[in-house]
Amino acid sequence: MVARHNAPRAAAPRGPASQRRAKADRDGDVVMGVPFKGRGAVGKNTPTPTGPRKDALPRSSRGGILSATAQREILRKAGTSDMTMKEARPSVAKRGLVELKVTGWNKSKASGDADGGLSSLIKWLEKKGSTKLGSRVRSLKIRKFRTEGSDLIIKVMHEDAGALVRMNNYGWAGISIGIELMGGPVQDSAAPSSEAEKTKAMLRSVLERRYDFETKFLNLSGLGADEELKKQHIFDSKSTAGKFFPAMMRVLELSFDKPEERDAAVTSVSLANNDLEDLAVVSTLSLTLPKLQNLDLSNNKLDKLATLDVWRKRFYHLQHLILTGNPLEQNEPTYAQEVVSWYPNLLQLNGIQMRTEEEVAKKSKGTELPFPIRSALFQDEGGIAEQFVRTFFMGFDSDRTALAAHYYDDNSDFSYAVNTQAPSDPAGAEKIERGEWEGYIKNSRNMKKITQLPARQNRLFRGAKAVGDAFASLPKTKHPDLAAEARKWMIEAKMVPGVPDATGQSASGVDGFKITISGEFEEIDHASGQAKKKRSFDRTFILGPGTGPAVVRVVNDILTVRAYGGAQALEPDNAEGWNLEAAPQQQQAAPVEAAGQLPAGISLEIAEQMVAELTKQTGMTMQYSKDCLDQVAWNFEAGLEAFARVKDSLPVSAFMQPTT
Amino acid sequence: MDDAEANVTVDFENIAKQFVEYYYKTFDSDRSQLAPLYGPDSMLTFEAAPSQGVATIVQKLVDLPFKLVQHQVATLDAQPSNERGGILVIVSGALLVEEEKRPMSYTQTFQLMPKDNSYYVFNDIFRLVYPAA
Repeated sequence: MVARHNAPRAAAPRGPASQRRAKADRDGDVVMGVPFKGRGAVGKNTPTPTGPRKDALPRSSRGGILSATAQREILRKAGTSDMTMKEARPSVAKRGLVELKVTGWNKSKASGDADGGLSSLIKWLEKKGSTKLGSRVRSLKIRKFRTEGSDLIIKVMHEDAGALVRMNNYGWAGISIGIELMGGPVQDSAAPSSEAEKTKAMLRSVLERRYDFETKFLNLSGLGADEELKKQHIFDSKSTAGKFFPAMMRVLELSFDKPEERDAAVTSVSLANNDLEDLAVVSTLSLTLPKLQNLDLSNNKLDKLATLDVWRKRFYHLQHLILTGNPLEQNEPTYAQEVVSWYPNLLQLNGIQMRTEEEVAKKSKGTELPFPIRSALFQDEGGIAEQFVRTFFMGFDSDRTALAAHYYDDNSDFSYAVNTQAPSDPAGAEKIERGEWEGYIKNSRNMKKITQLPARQNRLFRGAKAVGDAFASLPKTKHPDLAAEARKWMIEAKMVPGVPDATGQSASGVDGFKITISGEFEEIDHASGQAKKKRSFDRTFILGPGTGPAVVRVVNDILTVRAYGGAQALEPDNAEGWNLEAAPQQQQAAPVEAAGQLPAGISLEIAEQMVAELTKQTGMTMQYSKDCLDQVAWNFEAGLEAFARVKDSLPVSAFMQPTT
Repeated sequence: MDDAEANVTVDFENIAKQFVEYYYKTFDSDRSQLAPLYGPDSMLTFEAAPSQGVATIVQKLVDLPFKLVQHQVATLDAQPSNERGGILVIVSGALLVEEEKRPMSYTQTFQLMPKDNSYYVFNDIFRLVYPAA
């Protein structure tokens, strides 16, 4: 069990998601740190985190994000850039305190508190009135307060008044409280003036109310039931409903000076309970918050995986996704597997651990070069060959006895030969010394030199025990990391028929793999544990289906060891330099045909031109250009913008190698 | 190990050795004559470029951009590998092309399969593993 032996897993998942738990404020306002709970927990009576409580609303009364009739144009200007995000400042004197009257508060659930709930109300007002979302975070302080009969009179800085006035009719501790400027709302100098400003302020207030600063969670669940949005008749018509979300995303973007601030401020979003049938209306979320880590899409009407397609290549950093309570769970039994494959950093799906952080770390390290393979030349099935290679060299470096017992059986053959004539790396410092091959030569089975039958036979090791012993006789090794040092490897795999069937059932043999590997390793000094010599090697395996603990068994294992010859020959780019054949045409062949569907109006020809042009303008490889365009629905300008956004984080391999 | 089994062993090893000698002799003198060593289901992967079938493979080899070529075999190892009597052969050595004095290292993996009392190359993977200095 080499794999387990050598790859200890963390006992418990760690990560931001697991550190957060739902909690309730003293005021009874449930703040859910993260919308994500285990399967079964999500979907039923998920409390609405902040803002007006909706518990009282019967489910049927909720308007879906796409439902409804009537009112228009309210958001017409919302998405336009003429909106500024500066708080609408009172036009009158900025200094001094302003008095506001808070009504209705004394009938709350907190009224049983010693102070009638006063202190928790103050705390809540300060929290809610603070500007938490955006680059200009501002915490509101209530400077003075007194009660007048059943009213609470508070004094705040003038510039904070607007935020409080907008909280009029907010739900707190089971009741709705009224907040107004003393002297009446007519004198609400903080009120925004233009329609666009009003809309912006409204959207901003929705965002503020639904945002939890501490957990960086933006809860956009159950938008159809949001009292404030209902008041604005947002979902009464399709046109406003369709514009609402992008406008809100725009407002969110405008709240921050830099995209990095935005990404840092919001790491979790819930879109649960929105009756979403697809992601068309909300798709802009992935542009506004591309680095989102947690996303809740539970209890919508997503019925197929295809409905998620627009986000398939987005949210690269996604760690947790919730899809429970969607028809696709029933309709697509294998959806989980598929979804996990979309998001390389996904740790949890529906609260269930899908990968460990170690696995993700390993994977992401090699994102640009996931595995040192020549794509088409690595035929695999279910990752079996890849898994074997990964496990094998890890085991060979750490515990060869266990490795031999894991992958080899009575009929496995291993032999090796030392190529003492191979030249060493001209650029390298490795010198061939006397006795250079001492550790190897005893069992070297080079049939050019070993001509006697017994000598040949003695050097062919058959059976797990003999193989293990032969392994043990070889110097201790350290192979380069497959992911981090992919360029030091060249690996090909091929499916081959006629591999001996270990079960003996098929006389003509079974299908297996032939894997050929060229690479290098360091010899490790036993005593000191230090690397002392570099070697190059070539190794060929024939694998058949396993009968023991492993998925595969080694049928043949032939190794050639030679002086370290450098890794240049193994690098794909250098293959062209050999002059043995015309340079590979990979870069010229725009890989568009392999793409998914192109949007209407974009022919294959146009797509190829776009790929070529983007490659020209950005220096990215054709593949990256294609992927980039794919992600922006083949909008060239958007592709350039996307590139500008991510170019600093792209791996070197994303770019064309300079031609020399 | 009894005699019968020993003979089998002798057999596959000598076949491998004879094959390798013959293959490179033919390759170095006139590689268009390699056709009889491949079959319709043969696959060659030459420096990551795959070719299948006798004609395609031989064409690929003939088209390689050198006239004079010499293979110097440094190591040769073989194992019986296939239920149908196949042999896995691994060669490492040096390749000299044209007038070039400095050799390039290569490794080549053949999978030989028996056919009509002889053997053919079912699978052939050629890789240069050391740069032309």
